[in-house]
Amino acid sequence: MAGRPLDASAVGRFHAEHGRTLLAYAVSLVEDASLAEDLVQQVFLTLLTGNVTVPVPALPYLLRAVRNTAMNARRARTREVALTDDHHWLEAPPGRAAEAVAIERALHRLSAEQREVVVLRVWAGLTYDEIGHLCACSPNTAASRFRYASEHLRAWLAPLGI
Amino acid sequence: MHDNDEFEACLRQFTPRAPLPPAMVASGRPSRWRRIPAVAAAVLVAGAGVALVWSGAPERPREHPLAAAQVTWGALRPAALRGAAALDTQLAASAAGTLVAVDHSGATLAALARK
Repeated sequence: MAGRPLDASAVGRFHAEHGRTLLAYAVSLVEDASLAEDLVQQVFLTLLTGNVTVPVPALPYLLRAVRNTAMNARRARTREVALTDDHHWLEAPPGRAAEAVAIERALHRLSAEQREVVVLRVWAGLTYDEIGHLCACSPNTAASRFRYASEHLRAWLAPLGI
Repeated sequence: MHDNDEFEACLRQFTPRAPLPPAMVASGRPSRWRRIPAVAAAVLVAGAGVALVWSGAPERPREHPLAAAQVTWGALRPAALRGAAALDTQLAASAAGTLVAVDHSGATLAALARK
């Protein structure tokens, strides 16, 4: 897999192209929008410090970096003071803010494994093969998790017409 | 009833918001920093009205990659940049442990240093 050295403009491009997806993925992993943003910033900061070679395509690498950072953060969180987290992470089309909140809440009702697959499938656009590789499960398992998650989400969101 | 593709498309109408741009981090050139052992925090005040605060465990200091300053590493809390209105609450919440705070003027840094 080809790699390329990073400069600030490259990191900027990663941010522009993948920042939203990485943030959504981080939220799916830690269920805390503020912490999720910290994790994404930490990944970008690591990229900016150099000594990092990002393969092409970059997205799977960046998603894995977010995942690893989230795992480390979970272990370290016992040291932190809980703060109010009222930051929403989904942006809604005009007039549909309530639906965005409902989707966020519905996603958080899913199991962590299902939520992770939904975000990777819907907002990162990964195939089930790619999801399986990232999450260390088979493509069939990834597809199954997505199917069950979709069923739940549709049921929960149906009253809103989503 | 939606099929899977339609349902995915429906969800995609809602876009994850963008995180703060890395330029905000990269442009941070702390003009001063202070470590406050009582709350296990280090404060970095950057130029151009941007302040970054790092919080975390005091026993794990790391070199700040941008300023070569020794800081207490923890989570960079960019969400705190989003509103000074929440600052007092966050300071109060953090007083007993780790700290999350940010300010655009430096005034909060002064308040923090008095704690």
